[in-house]
Amino acid sequence: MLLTVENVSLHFGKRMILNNVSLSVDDGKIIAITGKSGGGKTSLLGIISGLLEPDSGRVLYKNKNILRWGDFRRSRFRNREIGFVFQFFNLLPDMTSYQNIRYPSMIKFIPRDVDREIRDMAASLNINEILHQKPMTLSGGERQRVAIARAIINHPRLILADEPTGNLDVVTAAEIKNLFVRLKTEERMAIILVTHDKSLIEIADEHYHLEEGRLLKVMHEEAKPSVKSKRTGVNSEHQAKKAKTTQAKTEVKPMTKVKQKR
Amino acid sequence: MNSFLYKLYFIIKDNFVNILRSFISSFGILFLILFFVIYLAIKDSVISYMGGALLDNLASDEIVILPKNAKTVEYVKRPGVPSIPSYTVKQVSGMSDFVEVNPVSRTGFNIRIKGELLGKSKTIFIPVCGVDRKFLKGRVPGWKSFYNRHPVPIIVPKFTIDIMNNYLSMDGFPALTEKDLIGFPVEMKFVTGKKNTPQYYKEYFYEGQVHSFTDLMSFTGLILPTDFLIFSAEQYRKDTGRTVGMEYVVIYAKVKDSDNLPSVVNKLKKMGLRVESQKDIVEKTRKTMNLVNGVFFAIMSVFFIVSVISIFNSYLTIVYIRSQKFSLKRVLGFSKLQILLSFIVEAAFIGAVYGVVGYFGGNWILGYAGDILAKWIPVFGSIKLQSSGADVFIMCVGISSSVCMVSALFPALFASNINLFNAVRK
Ligand SMILES: Nc1ncnc2c1ncn2[C@@H]1O[C@H](COP(=O)(O)OP(=O)(O)OP(=O)(O)O)[C@@H](O)[C@H]1O
Ligand SMILES: [Mg+2]
Repeated sequence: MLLTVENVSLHFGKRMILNNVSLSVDDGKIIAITGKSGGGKTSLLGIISGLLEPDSGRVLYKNKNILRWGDFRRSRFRNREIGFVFQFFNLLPDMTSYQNIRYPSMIKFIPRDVDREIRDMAASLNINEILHQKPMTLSGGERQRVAIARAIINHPRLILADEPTGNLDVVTAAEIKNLFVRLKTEERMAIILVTHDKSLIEIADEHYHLEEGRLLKVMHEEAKPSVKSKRTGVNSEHQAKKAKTTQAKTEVKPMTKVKQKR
Repeated sequence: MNSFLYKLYFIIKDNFVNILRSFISSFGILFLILFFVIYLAIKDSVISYMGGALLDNLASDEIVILPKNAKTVEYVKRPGVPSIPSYTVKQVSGMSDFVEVNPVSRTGFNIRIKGELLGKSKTIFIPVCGVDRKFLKGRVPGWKSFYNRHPVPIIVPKFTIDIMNNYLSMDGFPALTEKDLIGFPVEMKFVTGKKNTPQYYKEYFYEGQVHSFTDLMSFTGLILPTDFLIFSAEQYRKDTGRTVGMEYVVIYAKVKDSDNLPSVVNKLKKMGLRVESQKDIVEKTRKTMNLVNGVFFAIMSVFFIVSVISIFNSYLTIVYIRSQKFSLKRVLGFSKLQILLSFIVEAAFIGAVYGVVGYFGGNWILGYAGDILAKWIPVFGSIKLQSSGADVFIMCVGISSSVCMVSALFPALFASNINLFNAVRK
């Protein structure tokens, strides 16, 4: 396994955000995570990337617990091993798109020359026209694509993408989807997607749903609309655990219902 | 390599405006350094002035003997100013405790000198003292020719060269050196008595000639041979039957054995004299320096506090304004240490630049101030307000960049410890 999250819990004040969450992802796999707003999806990505300390649990990357790492190793880990596409992009405001994309590559003392790569990538993400604009002047979708380009410039092993198609039209969203598929198959990257975009969920090898602090696996009946009402999208192991550890009556809704909520 | 250059270019471009801003807000440090340079110069000057005020540097076996109630050496005769009677001088000279006894005399004449330079003549009143040539042995070149002869040899304080050159440069003439001026003719007019009692009023004219220049005794008047002063006093006595008031004001003496110093000092005190030895001078210097130090430290600590606060404040503001940027950099892979260092290095750089500017600025001011002071107060011509070289330079740069670094440290720690998760949620 490339990454394993083991029994991670997180509080903010008295509120339980994550409750004994476990998850794992291997090279060349895509995982989709859905869940209602405020459910803790971004927090989970924060823990995986070492930005946020959980109350308990372990986060193993290549079998090493990143929570034990000091600042220096974590920083390197963030720079080289993971690519983070933030929900709110978080581009550096006084740099152009080009500089934003190039930035993570410049943290190494002697950086790699990524100029060619950036231009190719920009062409495929359709942002070559806006490379010299600053984030302020970009549309939401353009910012999102710049953020994606920045996340993959260092060829990370793991991509954490928080709503990466949230601001995109159908056509561009499809291109992003294809990009993720390509990264998965060609570069064998592991990708964790937080998304509500049905077409993105389709490319996922596994789909989890986060609700009331619990992460539950969603099973998809392939292309059978009749399954809609059946309550099979539940991982039995998780179900069993839940019954033991909490009284909370968490119902894992089938995919379609989640979509309706949005 | 190309990408490394790009990185450098990028770092500079990314930080240029901020560094400029930090530069402006760190401005206070410049005053600290300027002041520091000036302080060091004045401190050095005062110490060397105090130490060299009497003899060049009073060695442990040298003493200064003054009249009992004298506070300092008074070269101009005024009513009520104490002096050492000549029989006491003879007595001291006869003591076996000394290897050298050098009395310095003054005369009751008012003395004006007239010098002619480039067609302009100038007559000024000037204090005069007299020494024996043996006093000058090993201290002034050509000491042997310093005795009562025609024209009268005159020793001139060094600072007068500077003053003269100032006048010359105002008229666009090149500066003269010590060598050019040796042998320069000076007309001296000795006057005494009151005009309403003509039988006692006398004017004498003597031809003088510049013998040499010296900083010895840091005396701001002319030094003439004592035997000449005696000769002129003798002439007045012959002419009028009165004395002109030829006296001794100070004796510089060297004891045979410095271990005997306390007993020698005691003997002299019993003779009604005041004695200063090296110890006293050191003590006096120390007291003066304490005062100088106190004043300067007070002023410097104000500058220090002001600059620390302003640097601290400016960095803190920068951190607040750009906390998002710092945390993003951290998220993208910068370690805490790197963020910390980026601040510290920037602060050190700015500090170093101000250190260099402060050093040269301080010296420039010193040069300027020295000139002005020398014009107004002749004594300052002999106090050299020149800051020393490499050591002070290194101190300036060192102090300046450390103060900047220390002031930037807390904001830097703050910047490197921003909660990353909260930062990326914005
Ligand atoms: N520093 C914090 N202090 C207190 N509460 C916090 C803090 N950070 C996050 N939270 C809370 O934790 C909960 C989970 O936040 P999180 O951003 O992970 O949700 P999310 O699932 O990503 O939601 P969305 O889909 O809206 O992005 C939210 O209710 C939020 O208010
Ligand atoms: Mg979120």
